[in-house]
Amino acid sequence: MDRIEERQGLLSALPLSVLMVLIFVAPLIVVAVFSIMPPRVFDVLHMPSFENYRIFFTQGYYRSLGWALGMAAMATVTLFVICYPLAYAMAKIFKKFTLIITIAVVVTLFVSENIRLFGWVLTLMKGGLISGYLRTYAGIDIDGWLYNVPVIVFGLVYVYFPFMLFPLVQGISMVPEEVRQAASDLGASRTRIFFEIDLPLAMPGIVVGSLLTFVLAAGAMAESKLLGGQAVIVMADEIEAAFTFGQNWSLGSALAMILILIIGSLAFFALSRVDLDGIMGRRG
Amino acid sequence: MAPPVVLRLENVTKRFGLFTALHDINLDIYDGEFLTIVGPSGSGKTTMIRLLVGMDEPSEGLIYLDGKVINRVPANKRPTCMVFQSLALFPHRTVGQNIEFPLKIRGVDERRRRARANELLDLLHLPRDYYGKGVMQCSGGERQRVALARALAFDPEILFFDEPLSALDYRLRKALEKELKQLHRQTGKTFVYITHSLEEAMVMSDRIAIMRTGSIAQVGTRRNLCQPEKPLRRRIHGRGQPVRCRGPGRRAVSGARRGYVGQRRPSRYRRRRARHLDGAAGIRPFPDSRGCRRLRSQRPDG
Amino acid sequence: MVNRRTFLKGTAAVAGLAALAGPRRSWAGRENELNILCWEGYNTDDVLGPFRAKHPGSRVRAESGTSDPDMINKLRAGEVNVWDLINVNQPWARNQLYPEGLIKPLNRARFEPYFDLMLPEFQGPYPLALDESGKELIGMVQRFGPFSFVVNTDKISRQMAEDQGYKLFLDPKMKGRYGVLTYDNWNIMHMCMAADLNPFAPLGESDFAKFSKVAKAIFDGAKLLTDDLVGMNTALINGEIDAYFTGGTYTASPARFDGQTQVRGITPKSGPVNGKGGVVWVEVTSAVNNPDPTPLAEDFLEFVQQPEICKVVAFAEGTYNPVTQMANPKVMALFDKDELDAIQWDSLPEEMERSVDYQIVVDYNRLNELYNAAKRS
Repeated sequence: MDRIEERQGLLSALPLSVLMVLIFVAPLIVVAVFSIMPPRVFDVLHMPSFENYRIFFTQGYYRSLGWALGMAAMATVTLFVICYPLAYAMAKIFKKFTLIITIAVVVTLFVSENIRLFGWVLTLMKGGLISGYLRTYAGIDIDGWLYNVPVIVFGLVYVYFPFMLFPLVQGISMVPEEVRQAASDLGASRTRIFFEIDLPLAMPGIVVGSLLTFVLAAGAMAESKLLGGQAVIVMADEIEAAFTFGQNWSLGSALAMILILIIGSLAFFALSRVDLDGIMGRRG
Repeated sequence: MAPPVVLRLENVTKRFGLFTALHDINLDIYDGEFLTIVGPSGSGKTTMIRLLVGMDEPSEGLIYLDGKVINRVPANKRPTCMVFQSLALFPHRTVGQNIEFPLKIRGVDERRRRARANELLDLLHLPRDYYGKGVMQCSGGERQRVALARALAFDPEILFFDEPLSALDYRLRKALEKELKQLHRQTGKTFVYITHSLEEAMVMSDRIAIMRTGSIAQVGTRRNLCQPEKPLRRRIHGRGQPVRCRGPGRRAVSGARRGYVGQRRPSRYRRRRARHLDGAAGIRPFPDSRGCRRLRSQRPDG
Repeated sequence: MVNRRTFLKGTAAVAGLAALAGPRRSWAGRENELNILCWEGYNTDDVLGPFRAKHPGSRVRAESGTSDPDMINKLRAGEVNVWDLINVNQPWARNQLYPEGLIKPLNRARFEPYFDLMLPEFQGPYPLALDESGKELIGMVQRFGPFSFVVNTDKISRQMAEDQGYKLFLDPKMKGRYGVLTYDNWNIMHMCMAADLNPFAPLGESDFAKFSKVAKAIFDGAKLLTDDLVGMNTALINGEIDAYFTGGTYTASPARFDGQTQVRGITPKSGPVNGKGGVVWVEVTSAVNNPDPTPLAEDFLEFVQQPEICKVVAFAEGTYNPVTQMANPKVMALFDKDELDAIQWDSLPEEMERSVDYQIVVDYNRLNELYNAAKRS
């Protein structure tokens, strides 16, 4: 009996599995195969070569990777620090106001990222919204704030804010209030409760939020292009340049593979350590 | 001679906005006693225990612990401890880590923590190899014991219980009631127990305080609690199961002012009304809505 | 478990689906279908609307690419059976698309007469619209423009900029006062010229070293890098920068048409390529070598030669550019003074005179590596 049911399960999962493989895995395989083709070929019928991976190390592409990962990490940490108190309030303190915040944050997602970033360009640039007002009303002449690394991180923080906030709210709302009270009753200070109760119990939300923001930020390039004026070149930019202006698909594939492998293993490692069922609400 | 008072409530009132949850409570809790506060849901007993453990501050009145006012002392600075209705165990920790938590906070070294945890496991009849077991892997009864052990590890002056047995099935509850009573004897600590079940109160307590719509209706031992509040008891019960009183009730009540520590006696009207209701065949759900309204309208607002 | 039979059944089902989907395309016939891959402008309703009206019942679709290589990637990735026309800059058609068989020759007899109506540079017909042998016509030309660099003439005079040429960006006084528009394939040419090298001739090791040095210097002194021309113009107008490398009428015209005529494309007076230092781009629109061709492709190429449509293409959307058909008085009559000023019509002949065609950079791959390394550091 069990075997038949098992088989039915597998069979009914088959069409979707095939679809998933086609949609998600096949393109990755194409990229992987291209990455071991010699430079500047446009099909995969060549002798494999690891030339492109060598180029990654010899031509300083690791620097772009470093910037991408570094700024993503900065953005993730900043977002965590900013979002945690807000998420805490949304999960535990605000009642109807939580809905208002949620709607306000979600509404921003309806506007394209590039347009929102361009809004910031107009706000922060020399003679823009801020410096223009300062000059007119305060007589202070300042340069813009654009075209440097901090403003790129700011852009990442701004764009990926919802991706940290909502998982955190979800994670924090999973911490039972009574457990916190019990810890307090047993003599634990606020700091102690934060580290011993809040953080570990909200961990699934924290991990999911951090992972989302980090992965998205590491692959982002609009921020560095629009706000940062490419003060530093990020990995996604290099990949695009290799595919287009470089007309070097295999190098682009190799760069993409490196980014995918690093981020993929990070995601795998992080998710294997948290109880995802918890945040999906399947735990009692 | 009565034992010393360890905790005293003096004219304690608690309001939430316009709603008065507790109204002018006066109560003494004696060192080493097992006091049960009984009341139906909505009677203010949960609010009361939150004030007692320090999760809330009273709006008016004073709470003394060992003669010192502790109104504004937060929960984590009070030498008291509570076992929650939900138990509030730390789900991400093992049994051992749960029990040792208060010791760890105090900076007790690992060896001594472990020794104390083992003692407590023994005391609560939990196998010692549960030490490393995840607390969510334990059964309901086992979790009760872990919660108790954790509270005892704190070594509180007073141990509060907020209906910790209410979620258990009848047999387990009965067994644990007995154990709790025994534990009280063994540890000699002051136990303050909150329940909506008068039956539970009768089994375990030295003294019982009955709460009703934000006030303490009466306080007494098992014996002297009976008359004339029989109708009230019945109404608390709600299911029409009379509790057998053993003592010569009326004498005890009228003789002992303690029954009404600082409380108004119910008015003649209310007594008559209660008796009348009692006579009218039986089961009367609590709270009595008309009585409630009346009481509220009598209170000064704000 | 999945056994062999179920697996085969599944495969058969997939194959069946594919079989169903496959032939239908060719049965449908494509007489009424046209797909255009182009720079922005040809994809607007102003252009496509009249064409659709002329061919009722036809399905005409146009998509704009973000760069030449971006569009060419699509054909290389196997979309030759999707597109019918491709509109890219001159060297790509002749040197990459045609030799690789991605585009096919046009009917020369049908289209050659149109070249006679164009500006003198394009008559004859224009050499880069022909294949290497000069026999086949591989595309039609319409929009073009000089493309070197752009300055704010309130800060840097046109005279000085034209005299200094690209050396302007190597002047220590300009450090932090200019941006780099990251149209990478263009910058490589112009950086060569800034290093006094001819990008269209083979280079040696010492030349690469020179290129590298200049590329690093230009990136080092740049206040911002962006591939967004609006952002770049904004920075130029609000004074964040005083010039940008590289640009031309294509990038300056939107700002100029907005009245910001201090934004001006500059063509250097001299340079290392036969004495010239400017580069001009010319769009070549070619017929994709679609295995299932449509007659609408050539019809469209003919359609856009009409004076009204020429004007619409020149001022379609986003950027404004001169068109080769402006030699025709009927076309010229459609432009007003502001529009002519936006595309720097006053200096166009002399700028064209000082410019060479955008061609394939011989050592592009090597230079591209050096360029990217310089950009990164």
